[in-house]
Amino acid sequence: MEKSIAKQFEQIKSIFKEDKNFKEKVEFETQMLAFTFISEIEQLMEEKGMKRKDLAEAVGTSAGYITQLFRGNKLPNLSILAAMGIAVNKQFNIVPVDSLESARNQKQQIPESPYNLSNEFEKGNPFNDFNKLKKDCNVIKMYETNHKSKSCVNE
Amino acid sequence: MAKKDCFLISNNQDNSIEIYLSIDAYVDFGKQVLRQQSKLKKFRYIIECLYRGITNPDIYEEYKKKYLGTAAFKLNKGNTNVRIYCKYVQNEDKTQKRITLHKVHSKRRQKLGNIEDGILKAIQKQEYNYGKIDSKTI
Repeated sequence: MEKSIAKQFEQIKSIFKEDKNFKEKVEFETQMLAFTFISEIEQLMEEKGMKRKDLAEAVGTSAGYITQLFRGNKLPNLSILAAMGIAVNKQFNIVPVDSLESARNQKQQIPESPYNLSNEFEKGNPFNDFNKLKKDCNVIKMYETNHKSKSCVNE
Repeated sequence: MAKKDCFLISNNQDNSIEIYLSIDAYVDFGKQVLRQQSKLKKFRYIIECLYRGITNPDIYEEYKKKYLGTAAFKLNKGNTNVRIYCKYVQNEDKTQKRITLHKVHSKRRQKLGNIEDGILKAIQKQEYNYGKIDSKTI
């Protein structure tokens, strides 16, 4: 490989290692928060067979605006986040990344929930995805135990 | 088909995702991505999304079926629709992925046309020699 080409590749590589200043870091992390949320919404939409047009209607915006958000060309505000959450019938919360990771790690270790939720849900079964809900409850329970707060599950 | 050289330009902390740039693509990559601030910014966002596992098909898409093993970084902003078509390979247990940037392309139509079809089929056949540049040896 020619030295000049090697130098250019090295320059390209260095671009990804450049330290960002505070303003750039804020901008970067803002965009990452938006992408994280959009990624969740996208998965939920796929699970529900929901199209972008349906989401736009539910949120009260245009499909074009939703596309801009998905592409990262526009940033959603908190009202849009809340509206999207309502549209996909999911409540979102903000937790630090390390709490999430700890919850994920412990999720694999925790035993089956002692709460017998299945009987309750099987009566009316208003939820399509019972197993996922049950897992979510396990995580919530575990998370709350970690934070020494009262359980959210009404026995 | 002869193997092409490509070199590592970025990787995540545990090296489970590595981004390589093909030697044939580095000139276009420099002109159309690195020298254009908005494209470069978006490219960096997409790479970070890949590392964090939060991509969506509007920014990074791995093609299935017809073009299996290929992917696209979508750097569209405003009227431009610049894409970087790539080849990705994974190990058997899918714990490591190598993505090689193969071609920078301005897509004109909404659907994949003949030009894109040709590029993606060529990428599918292409094999690479994966290399790393050691700054000490330059």
